[in-house]
Amino acid sequence: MNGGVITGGWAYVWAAYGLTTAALLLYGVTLIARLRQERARAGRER
Amino acid sequence: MIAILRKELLLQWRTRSQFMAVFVFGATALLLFSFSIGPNSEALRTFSAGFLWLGLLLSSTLTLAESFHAEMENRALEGLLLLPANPRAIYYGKTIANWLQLTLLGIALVPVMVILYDAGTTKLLQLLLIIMLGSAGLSAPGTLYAAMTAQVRAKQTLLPLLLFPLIVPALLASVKATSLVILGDPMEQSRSWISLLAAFGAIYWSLCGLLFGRVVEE
Amino acid sequence: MSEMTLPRGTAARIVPGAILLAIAAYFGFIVALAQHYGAAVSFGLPSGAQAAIAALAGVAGAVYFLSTDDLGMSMRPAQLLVALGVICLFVGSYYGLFVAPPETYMGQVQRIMYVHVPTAWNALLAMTFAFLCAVIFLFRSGWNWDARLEASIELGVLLAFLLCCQGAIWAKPTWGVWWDWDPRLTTTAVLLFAFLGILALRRFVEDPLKRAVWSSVATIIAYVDVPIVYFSVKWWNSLHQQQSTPGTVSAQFYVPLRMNAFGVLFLMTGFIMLRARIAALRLEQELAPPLPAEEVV
Repeated sequence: MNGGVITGGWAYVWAAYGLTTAALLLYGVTLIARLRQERARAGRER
Repeated sequence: MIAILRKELLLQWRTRSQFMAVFVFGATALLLFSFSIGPNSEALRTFSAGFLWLGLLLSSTLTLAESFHAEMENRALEGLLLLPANPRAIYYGKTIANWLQLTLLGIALVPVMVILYDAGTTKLLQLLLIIMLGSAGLSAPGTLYAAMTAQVRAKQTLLPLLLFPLIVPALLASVKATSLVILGDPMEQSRSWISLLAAFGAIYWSLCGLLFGRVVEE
Repeated sequence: MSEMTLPRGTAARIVPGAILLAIAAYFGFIVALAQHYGAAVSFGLPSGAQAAIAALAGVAGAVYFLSTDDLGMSMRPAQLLVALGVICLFVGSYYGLFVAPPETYMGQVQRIMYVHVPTAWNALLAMTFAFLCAVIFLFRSGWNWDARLEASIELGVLLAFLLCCQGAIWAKPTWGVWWDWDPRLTTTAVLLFAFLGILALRRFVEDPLKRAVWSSVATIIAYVDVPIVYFSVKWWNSLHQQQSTPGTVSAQFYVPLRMNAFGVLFLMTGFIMLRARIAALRLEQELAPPLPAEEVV
């Protein structure tokens, strides 16, 4: 840190945004997959 | 509730060898902690309060799990509930018994701490108060979760998993207060930590008592 | 498939929630955006009041959607919310990354706040909704509330985990360490572990009723602990450090912040609704009467 100003740091910004986006995306995908699976199972049982 | 308390204490007296085993476990833990720092008496003394409470916390998982062991062995929990006793009475009876046992354990571990870490103090009454309040904070949610996890498959892992995050404030306050007793308290902070401990205990003794009925109903 | 058309009554049921969310979004960031381009659309309300209305309406709208969702076949409202959420996050993040100016002292790193703060608000909201579900379940029963409990705890855990990671990523360039025992972040970590424990509890209890009652009890106990943990860590920390925490954002940065906040809110609400459906389907299967045994000849 020079004179109290943080230079650069884009790497950290991308890391934070990237992680968040990836996690939310991944979770959404697993949600859809799990939902399909549960529905298929419920459909079979009927 | 007195009857339940008496029964619990009687049971604990009869199985006092178990208490010895838990004490040895706690003392061993304190010994092992010292190896994590090394033979640096200055550092050991600084962290002695933390080690004491960590040791007590780890031992508490054994003690708490024990408290419902008898009921689970003989499915006696159902029998207990059929009695005209209030589940709340059962809860407080068991919690008080656990509290006394943890306090005793804490007191027993103090000499171990004094010897291993050169962490002596003259303010014994204050130390006793802290141990009593800290154990109270541990035993209230501990008894509730012990009742839950006793009926579950993975009981040994679930009890600490559920309990440990919860008692963080009690742990913080106990360690802080104890280390002030051992290392000196120039700014008179112990009062606030002790009040925090007391508040935590008050909140959880009432809340868990209220909720216990739902945990053991069939 | 019959779920392509909304069942009758769904539209009417959604309307109050949609209105609430629209009001929230309006005062949250649409007004600010419009004013940026010169339009005067704020109905003369001071910005503090606008922020309050946005927050309250947003929370109310989300809670409304979550509580009135019948966990049935139709997923349209949930899908719409997810889509809206993604759009808000896209636009908000674009704004935050490329349009908003860098802060004086923190430079570019400050942009992390545009995801960090929204995640924080929504994690807390998820946990609070979980607490609500737990209380309602214990007082009123109703398996839907157990399903919602499971869903909101899972989302809360996800967001809390993200929060801890983002906090560490923010702390490293700013303070030079990955973790600095900031009371808010530390409380989040404790919260994360506590609710992870509840998820573990759910996995190990097979009886649905016991599972529901116990996780409700555990949720109440854990949630009550949150303020206690926060204050105790604050006192504990204040004796050692005087570092300022990633604090409030000054006025000129709040558009991307608010947009992302709504983005995560919409996304999270949609996710909770979908996740609750999974839980409900599983419950349905567990609670169904056992199939008749095979004839033993």
